[in-house]
Amino acid sequence: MSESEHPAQSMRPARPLPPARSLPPIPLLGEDHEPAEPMDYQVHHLTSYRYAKPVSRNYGRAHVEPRATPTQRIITHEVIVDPAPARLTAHTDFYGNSSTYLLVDEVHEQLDVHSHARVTVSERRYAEEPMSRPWEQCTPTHWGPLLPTSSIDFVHPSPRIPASAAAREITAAVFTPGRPIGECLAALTSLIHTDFTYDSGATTVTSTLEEVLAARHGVCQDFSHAAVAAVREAGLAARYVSGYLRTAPSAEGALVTRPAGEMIGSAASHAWLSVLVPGTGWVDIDPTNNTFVDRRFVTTAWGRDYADVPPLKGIVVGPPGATSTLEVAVGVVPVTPTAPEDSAPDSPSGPTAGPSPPSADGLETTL
Amino acid sequence: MTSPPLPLSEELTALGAAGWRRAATAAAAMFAADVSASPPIVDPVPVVLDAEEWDQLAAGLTQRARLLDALYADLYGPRTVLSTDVAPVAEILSDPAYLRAAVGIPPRGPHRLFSLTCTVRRTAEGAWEVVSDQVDVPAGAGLAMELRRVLSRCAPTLYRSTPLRRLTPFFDAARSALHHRTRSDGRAGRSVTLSSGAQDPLVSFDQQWLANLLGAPLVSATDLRTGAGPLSLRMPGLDVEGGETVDALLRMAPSALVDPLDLGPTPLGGVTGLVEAARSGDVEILNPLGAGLLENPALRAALPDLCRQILHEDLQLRPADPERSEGAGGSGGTGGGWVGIDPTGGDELVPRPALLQLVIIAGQDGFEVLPGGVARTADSHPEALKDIWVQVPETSAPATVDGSEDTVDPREVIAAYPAMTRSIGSDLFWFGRYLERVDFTARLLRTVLDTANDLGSERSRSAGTALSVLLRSVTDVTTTYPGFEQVDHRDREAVRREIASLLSDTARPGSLAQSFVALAHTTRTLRDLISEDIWPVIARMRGRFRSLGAPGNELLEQGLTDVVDGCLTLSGAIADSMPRNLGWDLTEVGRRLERLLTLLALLRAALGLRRSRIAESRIATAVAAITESDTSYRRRYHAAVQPELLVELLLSDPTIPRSIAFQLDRLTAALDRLPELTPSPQMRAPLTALRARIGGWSAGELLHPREGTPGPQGAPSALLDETEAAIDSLRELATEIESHYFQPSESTSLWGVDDV
Repeated sequence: MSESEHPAQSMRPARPLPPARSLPPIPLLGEDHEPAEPMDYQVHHLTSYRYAKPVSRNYGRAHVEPRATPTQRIITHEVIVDPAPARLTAHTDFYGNSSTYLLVDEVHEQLDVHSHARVTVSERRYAEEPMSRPWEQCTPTHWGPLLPTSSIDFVHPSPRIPASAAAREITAAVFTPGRPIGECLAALTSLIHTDFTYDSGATTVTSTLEEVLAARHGVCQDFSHAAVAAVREAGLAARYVSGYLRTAPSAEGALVTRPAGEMIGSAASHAWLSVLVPGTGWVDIDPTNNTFVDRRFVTTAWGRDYADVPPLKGIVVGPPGATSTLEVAVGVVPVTPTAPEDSAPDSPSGPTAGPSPPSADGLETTL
Repeated sequence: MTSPPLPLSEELTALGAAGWRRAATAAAAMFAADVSASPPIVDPVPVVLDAEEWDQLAAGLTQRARLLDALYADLYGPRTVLSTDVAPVAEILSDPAYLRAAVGIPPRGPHRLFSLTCTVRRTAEGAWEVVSDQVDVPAGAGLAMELRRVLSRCAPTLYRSTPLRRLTPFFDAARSALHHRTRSDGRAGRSVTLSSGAQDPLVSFDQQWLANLLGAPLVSATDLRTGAGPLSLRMPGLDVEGGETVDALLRMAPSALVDPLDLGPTPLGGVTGLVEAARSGDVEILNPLGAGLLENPALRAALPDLCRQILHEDLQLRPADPERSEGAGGSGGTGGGWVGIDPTGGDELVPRPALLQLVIIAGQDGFEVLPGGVARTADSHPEALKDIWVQVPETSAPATVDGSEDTVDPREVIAAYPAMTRSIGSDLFWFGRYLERVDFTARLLRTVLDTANDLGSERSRSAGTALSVLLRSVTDVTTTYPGFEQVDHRDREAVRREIASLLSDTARPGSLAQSFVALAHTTRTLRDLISEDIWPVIARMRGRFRSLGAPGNELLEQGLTDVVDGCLTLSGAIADSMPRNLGWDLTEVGRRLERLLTLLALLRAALGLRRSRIAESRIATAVAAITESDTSYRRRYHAAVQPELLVELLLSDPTIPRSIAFQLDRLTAALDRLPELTPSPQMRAPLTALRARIGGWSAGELLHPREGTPGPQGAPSALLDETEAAIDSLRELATEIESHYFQPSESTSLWGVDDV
């Protein structure tokens, strides 16, 4: 594939050509493929607010519990809120995610929300035949009777991902006639990775899709929104996925925070997207890191876009003008699958259960 | 076209065209008259449905309600419909009215929907079809009641001619069904109505009336609070402890605007955590959240298929074909119409097509259709409202239709409603204040106008001084500067012009008309708290102000007297009809506070500077008239009105309802009755200061001229500073009452959405 094949590129002569793209390898199920061992992780996600003045109540809605998928098993999960919440409940939401509600109904000056989980993540491989079909055969008319009709939900524009002419340029560049869907996904991942600049200062989550597409700047949420928009413009189903990346050093090598690390978006909540490919199911790609999603990713929730599954949002009630500062820390530490009970650092009676600061183990702080 | 039944036809003939028009005009003037909306066109000739036709239509509507109810239960529950090829899945899923945050909220009763409004029309062939459904926020029940009320008064002979189904038994049944539904743990349930904050006065009128009929007081979002316990009402002043538990919320606000946490930012403020409160079963929201999805056009078009699939029945009422127009004339389309007054002015009744707005409410035994409603003519002429009559079947035993329900244990129907919430408390407080402000301003203007007429012809210096002081006092008390500061007090026409402006200019802050608009505004949420009889009074006063504002009006004196009359009637209604509860106390606090404020302002402006004896006597006479203390004065003092004696009287006589002593006594007593969780020193301090200050006053010292030579404006007395300090204390007290009892002392802010 050469650059000249991309009309999206040729339409913007002022922009310097991006460096030659390397398409990420498609994880196919080969005949002689040896399945890799599943990975076990200890996940600790801490969101911490400090208020300049005491506040009287705090309501929160969280999507932080990792969800069970064909390649992810949840061994334990727990949300701990400090100060002690008056209410802490969870239900399964429209998309099957776990949605947590919390209410702190006492005067407080700081709010800590810990999410502790122990998960096992298996390798993802896709059958070669469906991934080789032309992308045109992935539209709803080709879904067949086995896929739920309601997946059509992910084909439509959604509140944060409206129909977009700028996204159609990406679609035109990636989804060329007859191109195999696997290759399309690899090309889309690569195009966004190459074409967009990762810059946490460039956008907030409230940046609109149009702004992100015009500036070609953003964070993982923006990259995912842009890619989802392009897939939906092609008439395919794409969903926004929220989760984490492996963070701490492991026997296989370092996967730590940017800029030194190999992965962008670790040590914070991360986001990518998933595309429905009939015959093999949902295929996850991460444009931020130019890769298909593998054992380094822990999935918490998915929806049409960010607004369906923000990791944690809320409403604080307090004196007018109470300002706050925020710290977020995420640790996704590989652990040995053996004897998880003894080594679990996040049992409710452990040091991280109460108001004391969480164990620094594998926690990398951003923001 | 259906002709009216014979007895009705005879009465219509007896009335004649002039009679119809008279009834139409009277009814239009009476319809929601206290609401500042332009009067509707009303046609007193009803849409009459005989019992048989009604039963068929009602059966079709209840089937529709059952179907929509089942669809809601599925779309916000297991969502099996979305896996079928019968439902328009793509259109449903892409409808923003599908509130995914509301999926999975468990049902509390046999029905999910509580109420819906269907607009139907009759085709030329005589079949009924549904033009639109209002499911998120049903409407029209209150307007139907109002139309029935005004027309049965304005065209009584028509209403006596034909036995027709009454409306109130339906609402009585709906109210007991609602209470039955919310009953829990052996106690009666509490329902409140969440106001939409609708800007359209007729919409809020409609909702207020329904709230009243269902016995579910109207509250605003800021009155409700979720917390560790159940959903509760925030009572005036009592913020720390949870208020009264709310079991059901009649939602008149659009679904998407009620919870900023789960449904996104809302201009109404919303009730944070309301969705979760519903999910956890603390409160039932009626209609349930997201019911607006059932208004989706594609879904409505698919109802015939969905009805077969879900209810295993054929849909009785077809959806109207959107392609076909509403049969304005032509193509024999009048077959679906009903006769009414000729909109082109003819003297014969003519057939006109109409849309019927019908209300369905879930009763204890299933959905019931209100046997009546509002019909709106639908042709090229301006829309007219018509009552809908449902005839009582000739053979029916009336007891079963309107009869008494089985008796219930009184303990189960006592709802024990709290008197009010913060927003309503605030409205009552301001209702009291504006009532006094309107009353005082009218009395002031009336007396000053009389005095101007009286003294204008007199050329004496003292008469000129007295008139100038009184005119300047009007400007000072109403704070309508520059006002009389820039008017030549000897120019009678200019004086009358300024008074006319103060009387009728609604755009001028401090004017009588503007204070009345504010007064009427505070009453909008008080429909079920103050006597019903005040609405005609307010409507009449509104009409009076409207005619006073008309150019060339010279009847200022009569207009002012009418306003004073109106205030007296309102005061009487309050005194005689309002329960002596917290609401009354708050109104009383507002009234006493405002009356004392205006009285002190008047004394300061009129008597603060010492004048010649003869001028002062004239001024004091006017003040005595304004404060209705002239009779008491004459009985006590056998002398011309002197400032010292008058001030002494107003200071010390607690039997005169417009004296300072009277206001202080009543204000203190009412404040003492207000509930306080913990005594608030900030609130008490201004009152204590005020009482101490006024307690130390003596008329002689107050009015004693200060040292120094009197200026051309007269000699300043201690009254100036003393009344100013007292007014400051009163203002401070008013602010403290407001912040203590009515205003949220906290703000909410969204977090997390921007934080990644």
